[in-house]
Amino acid sequence: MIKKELLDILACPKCKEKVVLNEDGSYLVCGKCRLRYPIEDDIPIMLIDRAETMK
Amino acid sequence: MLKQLAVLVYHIDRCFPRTRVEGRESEQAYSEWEYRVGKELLSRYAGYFGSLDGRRVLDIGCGLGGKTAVYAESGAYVVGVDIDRRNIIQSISFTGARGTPVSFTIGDAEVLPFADESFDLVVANDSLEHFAHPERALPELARVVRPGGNIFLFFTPWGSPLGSHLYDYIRTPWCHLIFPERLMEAVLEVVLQRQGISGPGREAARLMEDFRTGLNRITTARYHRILEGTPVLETVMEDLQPPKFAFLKPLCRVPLVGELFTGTVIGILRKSG
Repeated sequence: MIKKELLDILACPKCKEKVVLNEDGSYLVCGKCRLRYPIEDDIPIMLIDRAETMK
Repeated sequence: MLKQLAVLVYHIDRCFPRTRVEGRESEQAYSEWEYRVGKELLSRYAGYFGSLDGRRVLDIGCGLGGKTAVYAESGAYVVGVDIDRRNIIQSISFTGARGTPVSFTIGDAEVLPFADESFDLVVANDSLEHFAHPERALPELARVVRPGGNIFLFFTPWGSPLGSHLYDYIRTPWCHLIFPERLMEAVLEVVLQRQGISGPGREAARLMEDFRTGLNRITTARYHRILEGTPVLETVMEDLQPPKFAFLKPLCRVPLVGELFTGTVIGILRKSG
């Protein structure tokens, strides 16, 4: 589980816009860049080169 | 020829005293060593940025989480960030076992995953020399600090006698400035072979790869240039410390020569506004 304090400040490393959790809590999504950052073992992987492009 | 020279250098190298850096036996021991060091540093320098109780702290390049735990146990809400997943896993295990609540994310200091002005304090302890481009990282650290907040830096500059970060293997001070890289690698191979490490050649090549890619060769002068280019940051306190002999301290401030005698740069910065 990602703490609320962390979610409040987490941003897309590329555009710095706020990211939001997807429905099942497996990704943090940047709507502006259409990128999603994986969460593995509760660790957000906030690296641009690990982000997946959304269709 | 190189091999013979490496053996000769090895024998001379053993005449130097071993650099005693604790906590290298295991990841857990390293976390515990970080914890002790972190506690000492915080008690020594906290006067510059005040109590951490209730503050939001970013520990950038958090390593194995020992120092991160110290900040959290001082009452701060701490986010530990490292680019290396293995470091984060050990950090979670160390702080989890202590029951210390900390948030961790994998991230890059040059493109941080945080909104502007998210933190009261950013700590970069033993990490500035490892960021690929410190010219990009320092302004990025400044971005995520609130106006009036602080950055606390602590790093080993390139000109330090221990600047190679290879002191577990090569004892010669300034070995990275004295020896060509091929010779360093050959000496490492001799050291590893004599330690009974299997595949010493491969391991020496790996250590040299870390040496080439894991250090940005930042000098004190370059750090000062970065600060000049980041006017939003003002220096509250700067201490240049020699690695072993405190009486050498005045030499640290001498241009050029000082680079060779500065073992640690400690900087406390304040974001204006």
